[in-house]
Amino acid sequence: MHEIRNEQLQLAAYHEQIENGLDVYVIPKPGFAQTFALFTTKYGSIDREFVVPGETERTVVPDGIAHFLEHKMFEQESGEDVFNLFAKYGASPNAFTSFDMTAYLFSSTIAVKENLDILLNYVQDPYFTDENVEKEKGIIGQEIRMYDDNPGWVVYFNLLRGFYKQHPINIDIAGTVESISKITKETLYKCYNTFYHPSNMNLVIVGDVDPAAIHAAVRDNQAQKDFTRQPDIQRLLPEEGEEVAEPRVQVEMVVSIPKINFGYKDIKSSKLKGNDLLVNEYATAIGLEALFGKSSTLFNRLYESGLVDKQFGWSYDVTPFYAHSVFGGNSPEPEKLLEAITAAFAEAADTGISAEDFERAKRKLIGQSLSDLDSPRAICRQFSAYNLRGIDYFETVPVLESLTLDQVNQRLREHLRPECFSASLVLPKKH
Amino acid sequence: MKTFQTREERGISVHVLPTQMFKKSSIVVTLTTDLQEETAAPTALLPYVLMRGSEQYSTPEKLQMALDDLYGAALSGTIDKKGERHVVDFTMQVPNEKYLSTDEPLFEKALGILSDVIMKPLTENGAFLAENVKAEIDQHKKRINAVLDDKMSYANLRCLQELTKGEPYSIPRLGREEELAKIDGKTLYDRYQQLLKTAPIHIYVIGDVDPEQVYQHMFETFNMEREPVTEFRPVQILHEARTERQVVDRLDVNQGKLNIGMWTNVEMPSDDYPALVVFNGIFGSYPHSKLFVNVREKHSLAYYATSRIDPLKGVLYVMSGVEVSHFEKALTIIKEQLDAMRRGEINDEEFSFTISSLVNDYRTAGDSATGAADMHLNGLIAGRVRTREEMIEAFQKVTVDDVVRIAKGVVLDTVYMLRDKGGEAHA
Repeated sequence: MHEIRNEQLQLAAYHEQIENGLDVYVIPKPGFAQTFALFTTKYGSIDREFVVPGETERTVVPDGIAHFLEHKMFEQESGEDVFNLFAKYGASPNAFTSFDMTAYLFSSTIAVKENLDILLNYVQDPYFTDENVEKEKGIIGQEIRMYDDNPGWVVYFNLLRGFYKQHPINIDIAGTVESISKITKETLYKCYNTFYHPSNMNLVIVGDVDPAAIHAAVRDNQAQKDFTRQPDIQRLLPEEGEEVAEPRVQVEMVVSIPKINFGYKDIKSSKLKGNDLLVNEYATAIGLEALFGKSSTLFNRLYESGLVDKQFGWSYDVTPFYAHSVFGGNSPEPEKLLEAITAAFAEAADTGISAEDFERAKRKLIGQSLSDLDSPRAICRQFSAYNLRGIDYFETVPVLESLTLDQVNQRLREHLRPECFSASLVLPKKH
Repeated sequence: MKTFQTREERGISVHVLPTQMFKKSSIVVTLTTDLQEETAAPTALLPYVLMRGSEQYSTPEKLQMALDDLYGAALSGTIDKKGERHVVDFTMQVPNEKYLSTDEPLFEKALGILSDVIMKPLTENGAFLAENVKAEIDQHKKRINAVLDDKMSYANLRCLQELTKGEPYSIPRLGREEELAKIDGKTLYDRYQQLLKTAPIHIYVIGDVDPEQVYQHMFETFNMEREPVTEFRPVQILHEARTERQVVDRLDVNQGKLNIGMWTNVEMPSDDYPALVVFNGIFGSYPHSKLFVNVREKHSLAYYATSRIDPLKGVLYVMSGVEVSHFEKALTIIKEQLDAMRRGEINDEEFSFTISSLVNDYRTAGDSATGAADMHLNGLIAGRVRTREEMIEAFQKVTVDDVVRIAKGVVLDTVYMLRDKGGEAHA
């Protein structure tokens, strides 16, 4: 058991790698009633094209299959319902699929070991039949329809389509009713066997637990299963240029006020690795917070003129596969807002942010990172995601503290490039 | 599990939970009043106007800068609807400097900002600044109209509005748009003074704090003369069965929403309340519940089909997203589940899974500082505060017969459908 410690945060993670390649991390949180466990595979909606280890031909799978697979993992050969297995111990299970990962989780206040066994066993024992695959198409069809009516989701995905020409991040995570109709049990097994090998996964457990006991339980569970080491998976992502696909995407929906998302595609940043990704992420974040955070001059000017509301915010996503910033919210006059934004961002790229704004934004982000540690769920999700991307989550605060004004201004200049800007609008339809 | 330590003076109750569990401290200040037509809009507008600035932090920008300087302290001013009460809520969360490379007393400074916002608002001649009120009225109109944008909550809101028509519960949380025109800086300030004088104030402080110091500080900060009200309007919980009503709204949507409003006829202080919570667990609030298993898993009709209760009004509501052409089928299945429970068709697994899940939920509730405060305030408003241990104990004593009795008392009243604009008028 290897200890990863952060003295300042008074937090430690205990790591072990199982023989089959599975990385297991236990993070004790004294005083918390719940234990949260997250079992994650580095496999998401963007893994559309790949070479199965041992094969030479490339495989192309239908859009939405990673998410479909997530739904189908809850099916058991015994006919037993996975939800019921957890419910016996009162545990609350769930799962989710993102662009680059699929995660299975539970939170429970008793019987952590039993619940861990259930989690590991069902995710490591797929059971797909023609019948149960067909059945799921109706359910996921309704999930897709639900998102089709969600203006926040539509405006966001349309922006991704505005950013990316080739990259499969521009397709909906759940796919379309049409694309999922092509999913069969054979394609599901192929994806499962490729991406659910323990060496492509991690397991993170956060709670008031004894790390040694948890590691022993996971080791015992894995020792009963026969996983041979798997060679690396070859993921085939199309080459994506720096420029945006469309500078503007616009649709109409039944909404009370226009919704707008805009931001910058930042494909260069996705070429970074490990700690450099973290430095890039937070240098950009400090810059964007100083530029457009709730205490910034720009935000308050726009708020005073009624062009943005208090819900308006920004985010920056950077992973080894994609990178972009997104600003978004409601605006009664999106064209006017875009005009003001374009001018203000051009100026910011030129002059940079001030030392006071830099300091304030940095403090805010440090405080927010600390606040996340009050939620076992947040720790699990972030630790796991960072870990699969080759980043140490505990380095977040030290990296934030080490960043300088020059680094941030340099980053803003690189990031705020007009040719990388795109905007997505959802305008009110008459109803 | 620890509970709040309370001290009360002049209708101001300070509830403190000292704990080292959290890396941030939380302070919640609430003012409770009746939810009623005459005051709903101004009461809802108040926290937003107060967040426009105070004597020391005279603009939203200055206020936000001061908060950000405290390592991203977060202050929100919002309005809650709890049954037929309207609650003005200020929540402050601030990191504990113990985990940061600073010696600044962040908690004390955050308290200073919070008390300035609540006790020293920006005024001129006994009124809020006119431009601030006008600007927030504009924003508030947008907030009210934005209810339409999330179809799931829109359908839910419309269903509950129809169910509780004519009762205070049907008043929207944010108030009505047409009432906003009547508000100016003076009337709004008067409303605020009235609340400060008469509303019961509950303050929650959770974190690594000393209760004595917190009491002292809070009573010094909120040192105004008070005449707190002790009586609220009674809330009508009991409702008799009437002919089932169907309400259909049409919008240009892809997915239909089928929502059902019911009366439980159980109030929160009742000894039957834990059995009601168990009933809802078996019926619809978990993935092992009858709604999920039958509507989603067996018939593939929906991605979500779930039920919730609002015990402060005695309502139970079902929410589901289904194809418009499947409305009748889904409705039949949902009704069948309720009938099955009335006939006592509850198997051992459904029952024991629900008890285990509820025990888990109530144990977990203490892991969230603001969640614990919210649960406590709900109990106060309902008129009976139960600790989490008490609830857990009560769940374990509930029998299947209790649940059947609850099921028989549930009255299905309103079927609400949100559908597309094409096709037949009847679902």
